[in-house]
Amino acid sequence: MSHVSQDYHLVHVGCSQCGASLQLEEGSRVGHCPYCGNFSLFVGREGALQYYVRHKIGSKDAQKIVRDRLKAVTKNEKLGATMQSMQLYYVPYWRLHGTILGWVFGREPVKRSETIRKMSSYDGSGYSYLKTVQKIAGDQGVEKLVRRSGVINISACDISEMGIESLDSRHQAFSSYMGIHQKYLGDMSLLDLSSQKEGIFLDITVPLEKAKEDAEEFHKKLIQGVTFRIKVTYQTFRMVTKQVSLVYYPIWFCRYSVYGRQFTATVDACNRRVIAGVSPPETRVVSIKAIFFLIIAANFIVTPFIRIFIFPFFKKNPQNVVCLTVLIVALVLIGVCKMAWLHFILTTDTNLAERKEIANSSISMS
Amino acid sequence: MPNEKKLQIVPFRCPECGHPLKAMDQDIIYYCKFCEAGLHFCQTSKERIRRIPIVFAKTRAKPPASEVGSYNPDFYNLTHYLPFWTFITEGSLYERRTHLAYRSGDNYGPGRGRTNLYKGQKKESDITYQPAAEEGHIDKKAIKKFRSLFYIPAFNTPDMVKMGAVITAGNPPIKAVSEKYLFGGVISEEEARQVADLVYIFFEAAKSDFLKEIDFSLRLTRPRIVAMPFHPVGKKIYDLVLGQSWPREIFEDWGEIVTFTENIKSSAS
Repeated sequence: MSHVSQDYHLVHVGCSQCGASLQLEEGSRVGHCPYCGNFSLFVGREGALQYYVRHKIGSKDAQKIVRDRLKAVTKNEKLGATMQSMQLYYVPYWRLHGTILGWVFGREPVKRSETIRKMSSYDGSGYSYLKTVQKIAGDQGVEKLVRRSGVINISACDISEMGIESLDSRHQAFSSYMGIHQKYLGDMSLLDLSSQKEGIFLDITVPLEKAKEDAEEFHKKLIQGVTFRIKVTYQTFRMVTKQVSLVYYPIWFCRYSVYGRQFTATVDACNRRVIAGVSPPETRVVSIKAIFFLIIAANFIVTPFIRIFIFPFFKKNPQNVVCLTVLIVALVLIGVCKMAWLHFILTTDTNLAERKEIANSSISMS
Repeated sequence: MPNEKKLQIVPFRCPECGHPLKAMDQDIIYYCKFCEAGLHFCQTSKERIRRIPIVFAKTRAKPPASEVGSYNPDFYNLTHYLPFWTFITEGSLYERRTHLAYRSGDNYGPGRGRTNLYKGQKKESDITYQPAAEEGHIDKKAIKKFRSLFYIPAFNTPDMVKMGAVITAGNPPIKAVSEKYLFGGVISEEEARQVADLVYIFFEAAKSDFLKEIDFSLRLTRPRIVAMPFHPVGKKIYDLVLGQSWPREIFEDWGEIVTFTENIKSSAS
């Protein structure tokens, strides 16, 4: 179609006759080539055309984004993270442009306007005024024809292991979390053999029928918002799906290590966001805590040690002040190192420590 | 890995005569002007494009002369055909419960009481009882049965149910004419079958009582495309079979259909 609405995306495809690049709307079945004048028909999987969103950042950019995020989360400019692997994944989503139509029968409250006289309570002078109020005066039958249109993305595979929530009938986050969670995705391209060399395309585990059910369920929930006043006795809905497409969305999955421990981060390859991952703890907090613990420990350990062993020795040999100073400094250093190491082990142990999502950290920081 | 074997970009041709076809981007209903075949893109069928019976309805009504004038040389050029799915529909109504309240007046609903889907059935004893297939062979007593031709818009419109009910209620006699262009068909047969249920409920809801619950079954057979002529007049669009006027807003793709048809006509000439 000639116009491009907000919910639809431009798709780049090649003409079947002359190979010229065509720009079409997502879901188009037929393409008209302005160069050779021919029309082409596009046929896809289960009737759904497959598209992919091109990744906008490369491996090095993704690494830089992870390092920057790491610095921000740990508040340590000199944290030595070693990148071990970067892999580009294309995650499949069913994308359903649809309209749900339905009938809702029931009873809804009838409101009646009433003008009442109210007394002013400010000064007790007896001043009164008229006020119109709405009162419920029984209920009445209602037959409502409801309709709702929109676009819904449903995850076509489970990637919770990467820390990314699935999109389904319960969860449709059209927020700034991840590009695919938004209505507008940017330019998409029709999937072909050459595009499949760009990364790993994940297998589809959620069938189209399930996705349609999820979409219908989600639309019904939204319709309940329209009919919330009605005490429903009967309702029936029909989903009229105009287009179904399968969209592969790119993400970078990064494995890196800090102090020999493995961590992961997932980067949205389109909107440059770190969307999930497990990060090392905030190192500045570790050092402050370590010093705090050391001071307490020193109070309890070093003071009795000095009173029992050092003071008698010092009384006998007053010239050994230097030895005493060196001993104290050595004890302090050992204490700092040990407490810091102990704290690091505790906070990064998978059994005891909580998994910190970088995305969550960034939200709380902002 | 995605199944690349199922992705194909093929020349758009009539499977019957091989002649190149023309259609709008989102269309799934096509018409070959050379072999006069109606075609339907079927997602589940292996043939992908399969033939479907099509009829272009002859103009029976005209917009009021006060609005279009007595003579309009562009009348034919401004008229465009829009597709409707039609099904021979056999229905059984099993239960119809209502609230104890009735609407005042009888101006609600399609055709304002001009139609009766149960025409010719005066006594309930005439009704034969049949098991409803979708209920797993549980015998149900049908309180009403009917047979009618249902019209479901196959183009993009927010008033799909109401328009379907009004045309079905009007039950226009269709006389076939030969035409060359049909664009805008985006609703599949499967979807049209689903909307038919809502159209039937529209008839029941249009009655003067308030429905509480309804139980029915429809059996839709012999799908066919009927292309109905529509003509714009000011802010309205008239259907030239029933003479009914519709607000222009409910024809979401009207502007695109007109532009596309004009482009095709000009390139053909």
